[in-house]
Amino acid sequence: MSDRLKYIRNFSIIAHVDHGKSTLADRLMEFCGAVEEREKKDQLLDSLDIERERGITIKLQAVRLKYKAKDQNEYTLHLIDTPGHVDFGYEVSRSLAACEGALLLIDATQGIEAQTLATFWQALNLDLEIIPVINKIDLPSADVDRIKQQIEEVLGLDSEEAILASGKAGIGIEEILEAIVNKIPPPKGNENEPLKALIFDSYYDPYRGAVAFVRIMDGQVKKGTRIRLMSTGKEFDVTEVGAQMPKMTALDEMKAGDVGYIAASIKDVKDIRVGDTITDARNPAPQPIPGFRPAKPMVYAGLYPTGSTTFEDMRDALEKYSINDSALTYEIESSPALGLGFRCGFLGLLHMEIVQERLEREYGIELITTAPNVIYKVRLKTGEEIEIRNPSQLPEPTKIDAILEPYIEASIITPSEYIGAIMQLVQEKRGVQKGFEYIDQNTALLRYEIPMAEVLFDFHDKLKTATRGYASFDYELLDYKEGDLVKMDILINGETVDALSFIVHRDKAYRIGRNIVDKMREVIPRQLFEVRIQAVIGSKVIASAKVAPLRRDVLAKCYGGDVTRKKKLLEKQKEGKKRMKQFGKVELPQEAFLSILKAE
Amino acid sequence: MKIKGLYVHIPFCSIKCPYCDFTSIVLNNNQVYEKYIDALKKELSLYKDFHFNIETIYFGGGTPSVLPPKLIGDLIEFVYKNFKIKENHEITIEANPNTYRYSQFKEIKSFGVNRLSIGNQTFNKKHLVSLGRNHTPEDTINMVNDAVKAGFENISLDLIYGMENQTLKELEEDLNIYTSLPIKHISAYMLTAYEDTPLGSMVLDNKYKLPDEETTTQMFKLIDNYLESNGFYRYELSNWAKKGFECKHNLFYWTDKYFLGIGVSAWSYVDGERFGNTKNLTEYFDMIGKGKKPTKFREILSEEDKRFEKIMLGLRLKEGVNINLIKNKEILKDLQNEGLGKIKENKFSLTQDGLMLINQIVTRLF
Repeated sequence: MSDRLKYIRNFSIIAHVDHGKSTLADRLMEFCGAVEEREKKDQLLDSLDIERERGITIKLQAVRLKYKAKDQNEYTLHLIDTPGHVDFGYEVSRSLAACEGALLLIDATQGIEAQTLATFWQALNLDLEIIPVINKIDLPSADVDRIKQQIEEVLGLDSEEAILASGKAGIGIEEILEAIVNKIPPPKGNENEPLKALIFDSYYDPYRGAVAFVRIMDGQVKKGTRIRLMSTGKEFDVTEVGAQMPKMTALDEMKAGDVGYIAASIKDVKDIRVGDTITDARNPAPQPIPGFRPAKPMVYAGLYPTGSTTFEDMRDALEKYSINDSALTYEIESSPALGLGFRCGFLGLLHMEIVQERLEREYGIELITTAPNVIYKVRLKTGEEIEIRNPSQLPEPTKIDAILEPYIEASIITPSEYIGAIMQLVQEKRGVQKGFEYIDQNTALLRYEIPMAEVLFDFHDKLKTATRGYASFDYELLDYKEGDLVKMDILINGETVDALSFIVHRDKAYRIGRNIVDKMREVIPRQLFEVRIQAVIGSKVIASAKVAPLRRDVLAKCYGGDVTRKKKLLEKQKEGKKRMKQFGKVELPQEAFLSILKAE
Repeated sequence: MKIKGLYVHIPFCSIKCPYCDFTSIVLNNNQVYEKYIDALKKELSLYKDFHFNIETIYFGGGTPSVLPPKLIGDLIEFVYKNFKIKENHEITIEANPNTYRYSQFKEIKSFGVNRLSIGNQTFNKKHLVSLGRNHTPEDTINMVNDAVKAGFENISLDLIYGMENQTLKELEEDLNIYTSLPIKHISAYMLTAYEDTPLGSMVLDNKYKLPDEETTTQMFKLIDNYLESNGFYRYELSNWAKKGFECKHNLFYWTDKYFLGIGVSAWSYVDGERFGNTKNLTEYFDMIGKGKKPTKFREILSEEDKRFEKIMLGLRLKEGVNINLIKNKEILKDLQNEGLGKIKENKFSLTQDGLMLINQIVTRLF
């Protein structure tokens, strides 16, 4: 091994949301002198407001630190941040693949949570050296012994190795840095081999274009290198290589073992795919780094402009927004009920919420979202298999041989008193138990196979309610399975409202149909014409309701002095109706389109 | 287009009714009355250069019949003398049941008043009290008889329906009396709780309960059907008349004709502009005293405004509106199918059911 590599360490921090990852990262940076006191913001790694508000990290970044260890050698440490939510599981795995080790951060007051566990297993599969760190030990409710027991029993690690720390109080920081240097192996790799750089993140920079964050596995790269993205074959000339220290700082070159960024005047962030390999176009590697999987949306929903937002406004906003979110996909969709809008693909529900919120907040877009759905696979009688991203596109039942839906494996870690409540909830969601174990006297780990569609709507909320917020949840995608699924259409005055169609398990169809119809009756105002609402499967009506027409308005006089006031009143009423969507001769308020979300 | 209607607002009452949203003050003082008539003449003079061809004069209120007839005569004479007025013009005065009697009717008739609009509201004693009226059913009947004796042929009676606890039967009893009297015109108003009226506050505080939608729907139908079968036809949402006795003045409001309103809070519509006077009597006197028009509100109508008003007002009328005014024509068929509207040649009009939903319909058509 070259001397250069001996002094490099690449690591991530594995932690549950709120377990103190960002604070600890800040302390490590401070200790290494990477942050001037005056530059300190609360948490440097989380750069977007929305992340800070929600206490989660969405975008990964990599920071280069210089650490002078007790052995008197100066080490280069690369701290690779990982996103902390279930929707971003693949990104997490690629960040881990760029490392040789990880700090496993556990909140001393909370214990191990489902998400930490899922990431831990990923890290273990990648042969990472794991350093357990028990955080927040300064809090009165810290229970170090309990956490140590969990580390032994659940993770199978030696709890004697665990470092006691507090990011907030600055306890154990040097000990952690020493452990990184002493326990995590230096990177392998040969700088004389052809270039192989693993992309683990990207972002769009107005000056540099789309920028790739990479770990150099082999070879080297510098300004002027002609690079090729191996999954697409696209080639670019490198304009800058560098590292975050924590500011973006240009370097002369990056070699095997290094972590940093590559800019190459790439216009479209979608050209830089997480997990892809960058090689030297003039001296290409024969094989890419294994494990590349193009980002694939898991959840689809229709986003439609409403209020004063036009289709064009929305298209511009999506274009701008997606520059920095390569995971979002969108295509124009036309709905007879909602007009022109977009079918958008998201990594998961949180991703969808973030996109929606940022479009509204940062781009001033007023939008209406249809109920989200998973991707269904339909096996036709002809033997052909098609993917359905919008329930209204489901073929005629007579043409369908089978409908398949994606399943997930859900891991739930919960205090044992809530096990009963969780079992009941999961059963309602068509879940099948796959594992049950205690990870300490009071905490259980439950594993279930659940159709993904069932966790789309209100699973998180219901889990929170059922366990008073104590349970944690993580999932991993399994495979597609055939299900007894049917398409339910909602008819208004006999006509299908395409934006309200959805796919549901036959056993739940009656209850959900009834609930939707009742919910819609509540939110649709009485108007000139009767509104008949029906939930149907095929031609069979399973639930119906009516909103009786209005009988009369205020029948006020209208003489010379009343005209102006009356006109203003009617104009106001008309303005209020702008938020309604015209459907045939009746008008539907936006709430009607979200009734499905509340149907369980 | 010339100004055809002249509206004169008399803002004085002997009591203030809790439901009333017209501008009026409780005042009984002949000196102020004289000063006010004087101010009205001065105000009229400020419009001398406008183009008039007066066909109607309407004394509204308030209660114009609190004035001594001579003052009414004064103003009419002033108009005759200074403005162009058409033959066979209509001059209406609103009167309350316990005011004018035979001799006063004789007197105003001699000044040219030829139409009476009597604020009766109901013949039910209980409901007269709940409406805060200070007259009896007999007062109205005596008044109608006196007016007829004095030579009035064109008499209108106001009717209010939809009072708290009013039954359909009570309403039918009212209609029975109305149709048995020698009158030619009935204005029927659903009791409306306007903001800033005592009734409005009472309804908000749940101290007065207006009847439900179904009851008032039935009431409107009862009135319309009852009156139609007794020779009164509905020519506007709130107005029924024997053929030939429609109120010409009020028709100007609904058919886009120009009218000038004088007096406190009076509104005008002239040359595509709506303007309204101050609602404050002191300010009114003040401005007139300084030789200024007492205009306080002004609205110049855009073409879209005009179109909207034509639909909003035209649909109140039996004959309806020209279809070409309507933007959203697709809905017309639906309205016809639902029995809410009728399309006949190039006119769209509302049926009885449709009329009761006029606000909803107007907002959908435009």
